[in-house]
Amino acid sequence: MASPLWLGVYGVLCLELILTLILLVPLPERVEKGMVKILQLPNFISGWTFFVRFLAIALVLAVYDSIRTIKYMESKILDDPETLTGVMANSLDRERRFRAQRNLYLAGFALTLLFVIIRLVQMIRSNINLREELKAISSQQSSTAPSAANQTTAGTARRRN
Amino acid sequence: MLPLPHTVWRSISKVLRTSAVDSALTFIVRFLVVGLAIGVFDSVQSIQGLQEQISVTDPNDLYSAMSLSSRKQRIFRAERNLYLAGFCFALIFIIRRLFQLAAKNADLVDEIKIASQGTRPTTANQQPSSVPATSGTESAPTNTTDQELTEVTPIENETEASSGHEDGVPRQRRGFTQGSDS
Repeated sequence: MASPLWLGVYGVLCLELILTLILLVPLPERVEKGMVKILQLPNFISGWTFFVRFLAIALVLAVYDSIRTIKYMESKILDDPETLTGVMANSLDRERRFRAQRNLYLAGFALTLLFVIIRLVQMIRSNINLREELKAISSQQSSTAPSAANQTTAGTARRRN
Repeated sequence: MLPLPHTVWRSISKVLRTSAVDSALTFIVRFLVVGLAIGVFDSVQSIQGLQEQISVTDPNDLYSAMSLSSRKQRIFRAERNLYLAGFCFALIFIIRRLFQLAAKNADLVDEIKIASQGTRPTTANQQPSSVPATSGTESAPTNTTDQELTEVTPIENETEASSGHEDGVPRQRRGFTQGSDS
């Protein structure tokens, strides 16, 4: 039976994979804006920060635990005697080592995806802000251009008079 | 992942957009995607096969119990390989998306710079338009407009160089040519 800790890590990984998939797909601007608005809410930010920190610490501990187990199992495999019981123990140790390696990749993948999601959200947010800034500048330009044209026509009209 | 400056991203995207690098990268990425997809598929298949074998084994039989351990070992190995291949597979798409977003951001920063430079000359051009109203009121209008045109020309050149008008004819010049014709 799988341990609840690694089942939890597996659940987190699945959740992160879904989130990453959503962020990887180039969504329409309206949806992205809505997402960023939700992420910029103060209550959400405080809850999100706490959750991310907790997850990061837990996953780092899981990675550390897996590495320690792998090292311990590797040293044990080398020390096993070449008797029948030794061979059986060796097989069990190899099983545990593969399990620890699997857990290492599981926790490492989840930890990496956590940082990837944070970075993707940051980049999408900055992208939206830059687009809005560009829109504001272009609208400012379009509003100043007619006034400049009006002034030139007024100048030519005076010259004619 | 690191928040590098936009100039670095711009140079990276420039290098990547060159045709030789682009075609080579596309080939490598396609090859990797196909290879990793096969790896993931193989791991999933072997996990399913081993799980079926484990469900069939008799726990009372000693030989079966020994083979159960080796099968479990193989299952964990296959699961490890699945995570490894899946991780690489996911990372390819993540890297691609990150590059896209970074290049987009660098382009937007450039566009904003150009647009903000373009706003300055339009506000500066409002000053020469008031010149004919004060200087060319009583004397010969054609001569003064010619003088004004020579005064305004350097400013126009500046606006063309900085703002980069697409049609190549700024608004100020159009206004003055109309005035001199009339």
